[in-house]
Amino acid sequence: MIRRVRSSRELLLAILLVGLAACFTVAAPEFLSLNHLFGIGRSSVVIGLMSLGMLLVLITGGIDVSVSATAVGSMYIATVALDKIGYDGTFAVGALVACLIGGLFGLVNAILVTALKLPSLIVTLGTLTLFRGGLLAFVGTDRIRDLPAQMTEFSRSQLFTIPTDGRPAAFHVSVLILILVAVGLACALRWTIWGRSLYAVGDNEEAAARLGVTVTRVRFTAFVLAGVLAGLAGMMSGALNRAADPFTIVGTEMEALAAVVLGGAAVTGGRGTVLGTMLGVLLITTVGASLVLIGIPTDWRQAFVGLFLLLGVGIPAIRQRRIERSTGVVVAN
Amino acid sequence: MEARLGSKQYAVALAGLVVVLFVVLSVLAPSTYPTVGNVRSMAYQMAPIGLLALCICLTFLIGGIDLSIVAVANASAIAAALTMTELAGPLGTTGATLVGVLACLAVGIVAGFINGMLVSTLRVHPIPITLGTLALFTGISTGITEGSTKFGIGSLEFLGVQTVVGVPVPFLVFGLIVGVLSFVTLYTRFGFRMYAVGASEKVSRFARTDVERVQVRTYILSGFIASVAGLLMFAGTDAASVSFGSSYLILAILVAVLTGVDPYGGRGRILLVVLAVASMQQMQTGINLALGRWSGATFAAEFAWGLLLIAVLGLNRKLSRQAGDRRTWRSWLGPGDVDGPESREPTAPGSRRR
Repeated sequence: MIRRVRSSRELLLAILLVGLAACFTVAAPEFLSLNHLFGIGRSSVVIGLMSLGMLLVLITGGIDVSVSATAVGSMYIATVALDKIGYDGTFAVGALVACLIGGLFGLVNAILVTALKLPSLIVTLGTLTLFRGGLLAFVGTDRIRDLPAQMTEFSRSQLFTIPTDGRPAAFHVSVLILILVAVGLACALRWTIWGRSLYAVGDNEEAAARLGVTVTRVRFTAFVLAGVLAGLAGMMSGALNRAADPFTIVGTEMEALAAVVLGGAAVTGGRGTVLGTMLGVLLITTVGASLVLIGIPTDWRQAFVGLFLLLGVGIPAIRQRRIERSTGVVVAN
Repeated sequence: MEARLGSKQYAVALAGLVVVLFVVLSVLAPSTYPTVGNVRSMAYQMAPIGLLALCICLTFLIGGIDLSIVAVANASAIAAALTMTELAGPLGTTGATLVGVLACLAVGIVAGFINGMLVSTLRVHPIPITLGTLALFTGISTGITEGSTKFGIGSLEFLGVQTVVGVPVPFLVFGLIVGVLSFVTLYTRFGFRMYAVGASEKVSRFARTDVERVQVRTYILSGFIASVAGLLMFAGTDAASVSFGSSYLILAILVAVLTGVDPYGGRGRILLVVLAVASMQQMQTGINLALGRWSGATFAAEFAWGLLLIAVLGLNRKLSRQAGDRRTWRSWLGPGDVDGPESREPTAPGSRRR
């Protein structure tokens, strides 16, 4: 039953995505150009990585709205640090440093939520302002344009390029990284004990505890990993924009949340898939990147994000109401 | 009564905090802090944040939360600015101002109604819903204004900058609304039901309370008060923009938590919001005095608010756990019912009336 509903959500999203693509193509044929499509892929990377982290927390029944602050914080601190010591090795080390810093931010959330048992929304709202305020007050507010060489180099590394009539369409490496992370996470969620216990904790904490799952530890890992992924997302954003700007990424936690919820994750925990999340990300970035093509100013972008978030929450709720009404039985969420 | 209102000691401690902060800051800055001008300017700034905190308090009381308040306040202010400039020609200044104010409040009521209907009919926790409407309202305002600042016609000066017997008008408005709502929550049937729904939605349903109606009314109240806050913000500067008050949400939640309203619902004393906002404002002024010349001052203040919010929340939880409250954070994201896992059982009679 649950599986059927879940797979139908992903099918629905895929159909919606294809329908939307068809509409955009009719309205503006250049939608189907490889340049635009690869561009959508590129702009999915940052939100996609943040969404995957958010997904982990949502599955356990929590919420983490601080991912954007974590992303920008770890990106900026890592860049400043690498700049200071004049490091010029591979980009992987830089990304690793950002992941570590992000993990530390995640650790703060994890401790507050699991050890002190505080409501995750208010805690992460608090850490959102705390991380951001701390970054801007104590680390710096300057936009660093002249990045360590390996970051600039990474921004130019394309996996492959396809010649087109105009500018050659390039498939960026970061998209591959997103895909690899997504596949890895999907496997971990599906086939590892850790992955299954995330769902168990989110679905029914009491039952999971009686099955021998260390609830606190599982929840802890979700918050820390969300931080790590946000750190990676931040580094990607810095490299792709070729600038470390402490004022970017603000507010994207909304888009990440919308993507995850649209992808079928329940805010009550216990549900959500990587595939659904990725489809949600794709839907949101497609709409965001293509509004201009059909003549809607990008100022309306956030309105669509809100609408998607409400749809993502509303549709399953209405469906559940209907099942309850027709059967007279209350379905477990 | 104490179970509903929280302990008397807490109220006394909060009043003590206000006095202590005042004394300490007066000693640290004897020439600037304890002056009529400073107190008055703090009163001006307290009003909008106090009103926004009131929205959070009311929704906390029924076990919900309204995260869209700042978006609603800005949308209302923008509606006021646009109507006033549009109608200033045909209706004259007075007429345009009147219609503008009505438009402003109407936006708040409609937004609150949307929140309330979504929360009560979908029966999903208000966090994702009001986050969604937060993005939606902000997005619509951004789309309409193209992200730019809209100006009024300078006709709301009496609301924004004047005083009555020495008290700033915005603060009077805030005081009036807090007074009325304090009365409503304590002495009316609706107020009693708010506490009941917050304490346990399930028990309220068994008691034949129309939970949905209480929710819708509370969110409408929240939207209305948010639009009054928006009106005051607009009156003070004669300008409205989606980017105003970006740190107000966290401040409002901080003040609500300081007020001692239980985020899980059913406990708190609305009147204390005055003391809570007074202590918050004094800390704000204190930070400004201490860091005024430093360029990172506003960001350091943000850092401090985040830290304070978590600290106060942690303290409150510790106190309530000592008082025997065993509800956990998990139940807070429960399926529209504060009782968490138990809500998987068949629901109470009357719950499927719609």
